[in-house]
Amino acid sequence: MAIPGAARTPLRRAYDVVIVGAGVQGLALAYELAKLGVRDVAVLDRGYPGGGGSGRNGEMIRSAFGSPEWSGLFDESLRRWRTLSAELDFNVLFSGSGYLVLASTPEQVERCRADAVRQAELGVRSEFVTAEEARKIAPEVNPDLALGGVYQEHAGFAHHDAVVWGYARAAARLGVELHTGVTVTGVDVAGGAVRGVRTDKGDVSAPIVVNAAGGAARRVAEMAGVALPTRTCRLEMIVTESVAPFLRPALATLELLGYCHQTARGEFVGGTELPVPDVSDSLNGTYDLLLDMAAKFVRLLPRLAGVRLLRHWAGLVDQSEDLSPVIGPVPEVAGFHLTCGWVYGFMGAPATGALLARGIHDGVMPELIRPFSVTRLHEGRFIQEGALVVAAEEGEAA
Amino acid sequence: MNPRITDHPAVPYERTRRVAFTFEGRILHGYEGEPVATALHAAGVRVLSRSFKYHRPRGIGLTCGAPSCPNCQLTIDGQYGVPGCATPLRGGESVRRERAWPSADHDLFGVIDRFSPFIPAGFQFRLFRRSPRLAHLAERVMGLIAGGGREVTPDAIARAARPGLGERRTALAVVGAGVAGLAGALAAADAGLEVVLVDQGAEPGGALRAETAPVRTPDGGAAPGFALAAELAARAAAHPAIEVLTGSTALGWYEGGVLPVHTPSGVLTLRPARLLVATGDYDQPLLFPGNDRPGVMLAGAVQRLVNIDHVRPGSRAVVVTRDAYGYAVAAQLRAVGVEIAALVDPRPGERAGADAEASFPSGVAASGVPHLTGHRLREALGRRTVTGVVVEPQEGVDGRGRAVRLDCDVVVVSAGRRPAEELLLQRLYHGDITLDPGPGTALPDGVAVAGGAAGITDPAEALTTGADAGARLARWSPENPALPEISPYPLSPGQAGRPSSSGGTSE
Ligand SMILES: Cc1cc2nc3c(=O)[nH]c(=O)nc-3n(C[C@H](O)[C@H](O)[C@H](O)COP(=O)(O)OP(=O)(O)OC[C@H]3O[C@@H](n4cnc5c(N)ncnc54)[C@H](O)[C@@H]3O)c2cc1C
Ligand code: FES
Repeated sequence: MAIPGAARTPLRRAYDVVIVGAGVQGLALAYELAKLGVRDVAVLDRGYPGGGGSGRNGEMIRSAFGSPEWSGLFDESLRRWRTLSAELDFNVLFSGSGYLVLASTPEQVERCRADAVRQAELGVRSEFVTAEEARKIAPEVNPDLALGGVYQEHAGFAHHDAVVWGYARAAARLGVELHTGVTVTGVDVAGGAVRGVRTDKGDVSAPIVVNAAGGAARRVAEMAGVALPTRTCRLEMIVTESVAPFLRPALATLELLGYCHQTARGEFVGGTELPVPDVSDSLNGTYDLLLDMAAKFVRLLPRLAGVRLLRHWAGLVDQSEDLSPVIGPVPEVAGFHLTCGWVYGFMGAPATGALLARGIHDGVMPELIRPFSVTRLHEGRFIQEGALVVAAEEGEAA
Repeated sequence: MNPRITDHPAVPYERTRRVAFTFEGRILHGYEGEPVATALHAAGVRVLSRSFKYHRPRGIGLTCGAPSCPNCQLTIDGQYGVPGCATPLRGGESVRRERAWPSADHDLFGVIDRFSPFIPAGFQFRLFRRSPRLAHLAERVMGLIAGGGREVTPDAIARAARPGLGERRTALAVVGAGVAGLAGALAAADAGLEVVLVDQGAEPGGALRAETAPVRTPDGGAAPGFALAAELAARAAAHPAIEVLTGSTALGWYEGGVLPVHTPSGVLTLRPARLLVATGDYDQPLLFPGNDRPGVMLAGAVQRLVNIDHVRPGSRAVVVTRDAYGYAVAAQLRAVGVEIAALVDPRPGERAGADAEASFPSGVAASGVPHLTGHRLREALGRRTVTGVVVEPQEGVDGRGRAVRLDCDVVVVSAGRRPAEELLLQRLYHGDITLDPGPGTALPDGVAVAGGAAGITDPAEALTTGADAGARLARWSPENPALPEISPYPLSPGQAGRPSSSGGTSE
């Protein structure tokens, strides 16, 4: 089968820009660079496009976060999501049917109330909802777990494979070369600047190299002598058989550390996390988490009892200390750029691709991504984002 | 012709009780214990379901045995998505087809298929890409058609709520009770291991249950396949160290060596110290226009229908084959009175002849069956079910002759097998995603693969590799892992990665 957007010409020995990783981050960046006229771009992937987190994620999209940094970047992303199909000339099946973060304890209710206030201050469209309102938005939710929440009416989800294919094809149309089955084995650095990459298909020189290697980003950074303060974590998901529509919005719960939605075909898609991050580079799904997901989702949505599972899989993410992405140049290696540390890298891709492309093109990073520089991690200036549904350090939901 | 075979020349058969069931409001009859799909076929029902996207009619045998075969899924007593080929008829049930309105025979949504030249695969990615509003509306309409009407039954909820059967440690789990799995379980049990043998079928024996041709046995003799399967199954059942779990599916093989098994009475969490994967193989379909029309069937499905269920797939068959198995199935069909309209083989005469020999000892020609070597199937004809095929010379082979049209109501396809290696790949697919792993992939300690799952299509050889794997696993121990297993067979390209370092089996 032909891989959408894959180059039909052989890998050349030199490009203006080499991007390591054909996930949604690498592909969105390639597309946006080409739009700015930077077309001598190669995207290299050891597997297939979307074979990493980008084809394994929960497809959830929102911008209602608690920090100015996240709200700014993700609100810009959400704006782009809403017109992405037209932009890429490919229906990415974006569904703006709402995104509800559920609170299940009085403390969580207070947290949601405070988040909604903060979001309003930051100019993000969202609303605090009461228990009753939450149940109206998602009537099948177990009322015990729906004491309130934050609702974003215009957020939702999109088909992750379609997004990858859409970006890959649009980038290819503009002249970007996507080479699959190419493993980057080294990053050439000389005189404080990046010179290119070494691959199992030969060396490729480039004055600009972007690390968009997802779960393997730390390893790729190491190749350039850069120590990223991140670690590889495993997340898992399930999909059920298709059933009559019962859930319209995307749903996340602070209590269960879970996120889910129902696709247009009727499949229920969701994932949960255990309280402690699963540091692993294995793509094997685990039985423990399968049971956890099944039990939690039946508790959240009693309608799911008796519905059969279709698939279960694992994917990897690169997690930084403050759970926020790491975007932009690496000061000590000129030309070496990062877009990694992503735990919400699917929803964040449209904006990040455009902004990072602009930054690489202009030589100055745009305001919205500047706070996510790697320097902040080295200097211990962590981003305080409290509205994530991710397993955090000490067994606590962040 | 009565589809029921009452005088099978090779396999003795005892009819079970004749029972009635309702099918979309009609009363039909079948025999207790036979698959519901078989009962429907014998009662003349040719369309079992409609395809998901284009609503094309689908029939029995099209993708038989494939993992979660979608084509025979029925709604039985309100429970949707019940596999018709794998569900025994009890009598009294109410059976309906799915994804069609008003019925799968006359499906109004079937018009989608007439427009299919204008709706290419992936059409949903092209529709409404410039108008989010329409896209959103289309999505909701689609939801109504797709998942619409699929409501879980109280029965399914009760089943899901049953407590599990708990955890069980065992020295060896064998998944698949075909000839390789049975031989492996017996060899390991004879060597002193305690064995749990798991099979999703209602009875042990696997594909060999449907084989009437003689199979060589290790003692130098030979026995018809089904008789050998029965003998091995009886020995396993009687062996004090083997527990046989039928109707039981191994759901996966997880990190830490957990092997949850879905049994008829709940989920059993097995923790085997060793694992033998003997899950068999799948028939491969062929690509040609009309290859999904009801009446197009895989050779293995036809063999099961004829030799296990004693039901004829139709009255006149075209057999398309590129291996000896296709000829064997053709001969078995003929033996139960199905006319063979032609044997079609894309390979040149000599190679086709050599494969035909075992089943047609005096040559196909002498049997009066047209043998079209160097020919391929151009297309299957017929709207709702197959009414014929067009066969044409294969370019560059016997290059003579021209396309011919043959009438038939069954097309039997024998186009090779694919190992059912999912359990292995689940664990080997790990870390790096490699597109091309190459042969000789190392298996985790204490794990072996045998028979069809290892790419072996000859039953006699499957038996020997199974017995050998069982004996080797008995010599292996977690304390003395002196015998690292290397899969002697290349696993499917594009799927296996490097083996897991994070623990193969439970110890
Ligand atoms: C189960 C799960 C659920 C998630 N849910 C959500 C969600 O609901 N919403 C959301 O926004 N995010 C979610 N995420 C996170 C999101 O999927 C990731 O943040 C995002 O996909 C990252 O994209 P990426 O392009 O950076 O990396 P990836 O998609 O992982 O791509 C990296 C690519 O780099 C390639 N690569 C790596 N090393 C090399 C090398 N040496 N040489 C060549 N190629 C290499 C890999 O093959 C891979 O294709 C989820 C993640 C998982 C696993
Ligand atoms: S298993 Fe589905 S058609 Fe036989």
